[in-house]
Amino acid sequence: MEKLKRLDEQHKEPDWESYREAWKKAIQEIQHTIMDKWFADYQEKGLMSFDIVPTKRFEPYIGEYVTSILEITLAQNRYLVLEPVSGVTSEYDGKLEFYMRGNVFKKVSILREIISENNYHWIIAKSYDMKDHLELDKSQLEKLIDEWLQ
Amino acid sequence: MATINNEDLRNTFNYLATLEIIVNKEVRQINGNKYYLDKIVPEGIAKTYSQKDKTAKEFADNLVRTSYENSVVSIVATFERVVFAKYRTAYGAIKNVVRDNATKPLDYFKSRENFVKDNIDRLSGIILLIEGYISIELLTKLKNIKDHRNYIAHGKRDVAPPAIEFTLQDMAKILDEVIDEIEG
Repeated sequence: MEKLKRLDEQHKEPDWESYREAWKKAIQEIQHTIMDKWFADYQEKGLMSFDIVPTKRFEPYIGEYVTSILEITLAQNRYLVLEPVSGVTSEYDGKLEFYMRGNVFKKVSILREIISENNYHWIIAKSYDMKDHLELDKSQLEKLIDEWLQ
Repeated sequence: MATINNEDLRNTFNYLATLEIIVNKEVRQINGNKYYLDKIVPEGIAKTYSQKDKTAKEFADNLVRTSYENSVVSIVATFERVVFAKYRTAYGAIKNVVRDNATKPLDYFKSRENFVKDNIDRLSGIILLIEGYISIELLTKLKNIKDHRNYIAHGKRDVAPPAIEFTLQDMAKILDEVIDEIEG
């Protein structure tokens, strides 16, 4: 019976409304992790400041919603941007772009991968090559910003 | 520099790659001096985005994005033109074989050529046709590029975007490899 139940669930259309809410929550969580945990020290030392800019999205499957862009201001008019692109993508379960404003070719994808019903993690991907897909953490972001500021 | 064997694809790629270089050079200029923007934008929007560093850079970002998205549509359009020309030539040849060699009962049917599929008019149809004849890896990349083109061309409404975007150079190489495979 368990197997039948699982098969039935696999055939059901996903609940896009709750998917959208979970995606919005995931965006907020990663933004706050960056601001309040990973880069809080930099903010305290006056090396970074953060802005949350509301933005509206209209996307396939999940429709219209309001979310936000995280803008990180560095010294000398340099800005980093973490921008939601889509809650549904091929291969992964949501995508943000992290880039340096005015240098949009300095850009990586931040991808959400859902592991189980209540669990997901973030991947940082520099290219299509799977060798360039790494678990996102503080040191990966620091390394990347360091490269971009060279 | 990528080696692109197909002449049509190579020509389009060369124009698009040149445009990409021009746009990147202009963006570097804007980064150094926001007022440079006023020299390159249409007269009607001069001084609109150049007054603040941030808006000038935002404009530059959107310029690069728009240029890239146009390149995706353009290079896939060239690929489609090349592939459909090959498909029609192949269909013509197969039709002739059927006409010349059909025996009873097939030659009773005036529509015997219709047994050969001639109604493919979309890239997805071509993909179905070549599925199984090119490597899975190459086919996956081709599908990814097709989905990306559809995402852009359909106003980012009804198709999910790819998780990772190919560079223009990578796209040209992949599409050229597919043409190579089709030509066998």
